[in-house]
Amino acid sequence: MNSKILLVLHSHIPYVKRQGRWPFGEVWLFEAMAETYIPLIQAWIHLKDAGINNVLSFSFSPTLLEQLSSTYIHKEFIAYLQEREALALEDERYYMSRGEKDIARIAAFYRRYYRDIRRDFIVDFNKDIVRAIKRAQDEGGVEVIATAATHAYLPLLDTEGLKNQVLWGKRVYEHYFDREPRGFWLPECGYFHGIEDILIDNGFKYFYVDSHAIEGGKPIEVYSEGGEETEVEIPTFARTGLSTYRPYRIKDKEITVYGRNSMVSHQVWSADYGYPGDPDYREFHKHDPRSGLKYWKVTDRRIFDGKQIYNPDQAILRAKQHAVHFVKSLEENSQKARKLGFSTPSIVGCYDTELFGHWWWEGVSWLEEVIKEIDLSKELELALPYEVGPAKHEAQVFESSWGMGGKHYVWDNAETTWMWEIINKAGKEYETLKIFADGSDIHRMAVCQALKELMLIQSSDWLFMVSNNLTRDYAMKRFFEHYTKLLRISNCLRNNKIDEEFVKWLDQIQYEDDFFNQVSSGGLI
Amino acid sequence: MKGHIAFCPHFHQPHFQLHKTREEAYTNSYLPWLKLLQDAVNLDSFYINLHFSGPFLYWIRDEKKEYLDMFNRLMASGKVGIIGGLADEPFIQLSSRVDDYLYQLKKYDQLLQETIGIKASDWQGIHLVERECGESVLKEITRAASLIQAPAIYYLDVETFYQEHFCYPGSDNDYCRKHFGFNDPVSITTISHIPAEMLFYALRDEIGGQAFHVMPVHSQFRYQLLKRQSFTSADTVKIKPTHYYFYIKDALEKAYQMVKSYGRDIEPLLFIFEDAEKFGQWSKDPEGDREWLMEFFNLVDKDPDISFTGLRSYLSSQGYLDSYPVASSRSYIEWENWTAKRGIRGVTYGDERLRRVICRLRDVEKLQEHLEKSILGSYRQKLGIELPTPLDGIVQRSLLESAERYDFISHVLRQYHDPQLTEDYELLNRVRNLLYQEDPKWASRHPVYGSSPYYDVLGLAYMEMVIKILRSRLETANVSNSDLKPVTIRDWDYDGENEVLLENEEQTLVLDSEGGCISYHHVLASSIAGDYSAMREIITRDLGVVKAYNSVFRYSYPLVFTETDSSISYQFYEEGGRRERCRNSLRCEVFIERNNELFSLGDFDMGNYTINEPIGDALNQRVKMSYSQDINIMDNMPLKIDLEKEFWLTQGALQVSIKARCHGGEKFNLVLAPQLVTSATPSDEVEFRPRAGLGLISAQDEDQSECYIQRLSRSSDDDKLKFYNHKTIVKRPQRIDYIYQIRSGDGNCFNNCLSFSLNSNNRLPYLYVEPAVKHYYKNYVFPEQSQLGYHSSGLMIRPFLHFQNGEAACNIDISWKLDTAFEENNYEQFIWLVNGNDSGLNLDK
Repeated sequence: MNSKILLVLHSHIPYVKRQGRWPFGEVWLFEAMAETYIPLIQAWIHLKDAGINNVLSFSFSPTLLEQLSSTYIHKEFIAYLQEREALALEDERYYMSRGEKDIARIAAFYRRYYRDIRRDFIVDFNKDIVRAIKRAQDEGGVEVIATAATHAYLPLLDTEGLKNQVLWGKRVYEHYFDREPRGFWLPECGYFHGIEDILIDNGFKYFYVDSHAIEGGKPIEVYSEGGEETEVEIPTFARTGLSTYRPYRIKDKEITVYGRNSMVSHQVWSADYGYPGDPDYREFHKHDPRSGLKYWKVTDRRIFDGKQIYNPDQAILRAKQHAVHFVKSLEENSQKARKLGFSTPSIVGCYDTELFGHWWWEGVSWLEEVIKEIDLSKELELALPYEVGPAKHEAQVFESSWGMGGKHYVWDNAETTWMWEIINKAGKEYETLKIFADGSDIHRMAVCQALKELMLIQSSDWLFMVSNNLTRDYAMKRFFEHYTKLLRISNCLRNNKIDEEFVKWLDQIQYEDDFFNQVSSGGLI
Repeated sequence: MKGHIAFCPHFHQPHFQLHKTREEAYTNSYLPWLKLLQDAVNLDSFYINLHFSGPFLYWIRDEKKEYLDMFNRLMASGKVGIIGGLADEPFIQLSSRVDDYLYQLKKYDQLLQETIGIKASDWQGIHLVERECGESVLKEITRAASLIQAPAIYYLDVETFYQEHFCYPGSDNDYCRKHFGFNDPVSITTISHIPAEMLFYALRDEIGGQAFHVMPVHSQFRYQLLKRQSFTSADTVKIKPTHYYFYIKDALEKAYQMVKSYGRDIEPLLFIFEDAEKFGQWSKDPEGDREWLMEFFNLVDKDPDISFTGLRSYLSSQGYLDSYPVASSRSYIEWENWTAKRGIRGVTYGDERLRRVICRLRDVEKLQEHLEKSILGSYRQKLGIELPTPLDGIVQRSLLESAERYDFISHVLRQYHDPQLTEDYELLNRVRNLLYQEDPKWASRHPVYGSSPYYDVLGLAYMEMVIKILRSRLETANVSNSDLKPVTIRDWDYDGENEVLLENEEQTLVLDSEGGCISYHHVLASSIAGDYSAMREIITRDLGVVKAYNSVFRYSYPLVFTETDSSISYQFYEEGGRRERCRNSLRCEVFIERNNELFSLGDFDMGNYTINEPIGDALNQRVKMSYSQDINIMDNMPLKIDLEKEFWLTQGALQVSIKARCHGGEKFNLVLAPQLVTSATPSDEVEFRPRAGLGLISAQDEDQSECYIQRLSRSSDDDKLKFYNHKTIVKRPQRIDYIYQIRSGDGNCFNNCLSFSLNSNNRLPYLYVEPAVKHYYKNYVFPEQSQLGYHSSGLMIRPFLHFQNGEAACNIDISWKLDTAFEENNYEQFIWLVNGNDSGLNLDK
């Protein structure tokens, strides 16, 4: 029996619809759609058409599903693609006029790229990426799993919030995929003892954790590499003697846990050793000052100046080489597992979907080549969790995440303590509002909107951005805005200020934060 | 935005196309096209512009009348427009005569009226062959079109227009960089060209006062059409009809927006041009292609903003965007090796083999002009017009430079001369025009099927008969001119060096001073040599109405018309850039034999031979060529070798005498190796299984020779050729017969025989038999296209004669029998070179 390779791609973009366009906001979603989701699904379809075994697991956060299904986003995405195409054309002419043919050639490449993405979005997907994913799952070869409603960091959430996140995560899934989900993606692989009970209550059969949650030892992921400049202490988890080469049943529970393989993750994610840092790959951080397009290659990831012009052909060749290397490593890993006594080892690779294409421009090509190479391998085969068979061994899993330090530091630290206080307050506030749901339609709509605002407050994204000092202002603005909205709803309901101004304002925020609408009509509370 | 699509498939099969090729295309493509169109014309917005090439229509008229009937029923829908063109799909820029434009257009008009009932004034536009044009082509064709009321509307590749918007420092347009070697800091210039987005409209241009309209063709819409399959393993691009429709609409929208910003509100046009055979024949999946196209047509039909249109209809409704100049065309930038570089201009540096066709055409053009001048002279006499001296010349020159030159002469002949002369003149013009057809000039070579120079060889077979008739006419008319002499020395191929041209009633022979060899040799069957009536009858029968298939090789055949050979190319630069020379016949090499190995001496196969005073009268055509070279074999061992060749034409044969003399090298083992070459190839245009072999008749003596035969070929079950080498011991041959079978599309199958008799007192230890050319354009084209064999390049026999007493000499008698009986058993030994019976042969791969 070949070793089973389980690739899991987790997809999430914060809720940015109508929450600003550029440099922060909808552009994040559009970039992910143009650079990751569409190319990845097209690659998956090409592989399938070529008769190659290409089974993959995906998770799509409910906020992402909602945004991908929005007609507003569809329209704006097309406009975005047309803008990019026009910018690329302008760059092409500009750089030709300067005699910089190499850049002009890449601009021409981008012009065609964005045109073809627009073609695929309109023609092949009929603007409905989610339907394309559903079709892939219905036809077999893809398993989509559910995740928390607004990608909340679950281990630190209060119980009611936790239940809401899991329940509405499941309901949104069922709405879009017309079936019950089997698996659940814990945002950030955030696990604590007890969460499995909520998952079991909602019918989930399995979930994923990071490798140290099962094996123990020192977390080694890229997010875990605390350097001297970081204050976080990286704990060493007690060695358990267990292995991620097999799935486990959580002790005394009817749910399976898969641990991701450290090597598989490390080779892709590692800042030092990961493939995306190769000098030939496209540099993510350097933009053309005129258009924002990226024309340079990594060259040397330690320096920002002196970047050389990107060569797409060379980069694609490199991606192929890296794919071959990766699959060879998988084979070695598999052989090592067999020596350890695992007759049919499972090797789980979990990645953020947006790594491929968006962060790592050549990542989709790399992944496509990896799948082709695995298809040719006599040692390996791609598989979905149910194909691995039931877990025969039990395990207790450490409280953990895939973030720096292996636990909660990234989302819970000195920079975010105040945010957790607000999150908890907001949760309690919402609980007190439920009684108003039995009032008029306006009352009911107001309570529904309060729940949406609460769930947006709980999103892990704002915590992450504040912790990492990335787009902190935007994150804080969003965090406060949703909290303020929740408070105003609360005040109006409590003080019975349901006047014309409130209705008008409610209408406005329903327009701004208009996700989960199908859920509210089905009884949100 | 409203936009238009002009869809224009181009149906073409060249004159003399192979039977099997045509039939396959008919089944896979042309019939499915009809079925597709029968459905498509029911769509409201559908309209299609079709261009049928003249050769295609001649074939259909001759062989597929039912197709014409079906097509004409389709025409009743009113949704099919016809694009006019030139009768023989010629690279007309190869012609020296401006009247050929009108001749070609009128012939096409006549053909189209006869077959489809469409007049020139109803054409939707005019097809330019391969969209190749220079200014003269556009000017002259426009002038000729106006004479038949045809609309001067063309479609040219977008690359033909000026699209470069910028010049920049360091670019080709930077004159500082060009002249002084530094970048001009102020050469950044935006030129007021029409933006590329606006090249989706009809544009007007005029050259020399001749105004015309052009619609740009964007090649991406050609290549995306029916792109259902991968070209290579790395190619994953497959274009669905929905994608194609998306691209078209997107391009039209952008064009419209750009023009709007330019201040115009005019609906754009997207032109789709493609070879009709892409549907069904290229993919071998007509049904899949039909579904693809029908889906595309339906998408357009359902879109209220887009509709199909005819070219002229579009121009009538939308007009032209602006006047904008056309440059010289570059329709196939990627294939330029096959067009411009290979001599689309005719007698230019490039493809030597093509050059020979054009040189022969130049001979005919000259002879035709002598005849025309003679006719014009007698016309004035008959009219009794005596023009004063300057006027006389002016009138004659004006007539000869007129677009209506042919028409004028033809009318004069009909009015005042005997019908036979009229018929001869018209036949001459018809055959001459056939020789310009585009296909043999570049892409359509079929090395695999034994027809590498096939189309040109067929054309030359007729052309040489016409020349004989024309020469006889001029002699009868007492026209005296050096062009009519039986032996002439001149720069026949315009390469800056002299050739010798020998002609009698049976043969035409061109000897090249470079290598002292035969560069062209054409023969007639003895049955028709000197019989002009018989020749007229053959030409009239085959080309009077242009038959699809013929058996002209029974009567007329070019024996030496060889391909270029990569092994004797001249390399200018190590990394590429070379001139390939033709193999030619009777080049000679001199070798020295040491330790059973042969080393070539000197430059006897390529050196420049001196042409000695030739003899040339009606009965005797003879010429000598000689070459002498001092060679230093080792230090202080100089020797001098003289080589002399004499060629003379006799009845039914070409005689060659070769003498090599070595001064001072008697003690060396020297070897003389003449190359007996023919480009004659077997051909089977029905089944693609050509057959040819060698029959050996030995000398009386008991000498034996080792015979090495290279690259014997056999067809395998999948119709691919496999190659073998063979070595055998033969009695010293006195005569070698090369039998090659011709199976033509008209159902005839016959054998031609070319005999080489070799008389020499020198010992002949080895005999090499190999394809005349093994590779041409090696590393320039795909390997399978580069590799040739007996079936595609002909034969080369190399006898190796040992010097005795410092001398080696031989007499070679080259004779031929066209359409002759053949019995394998009549030979002491017979070796099948191509697809024969292999009994007794030990074939090594």
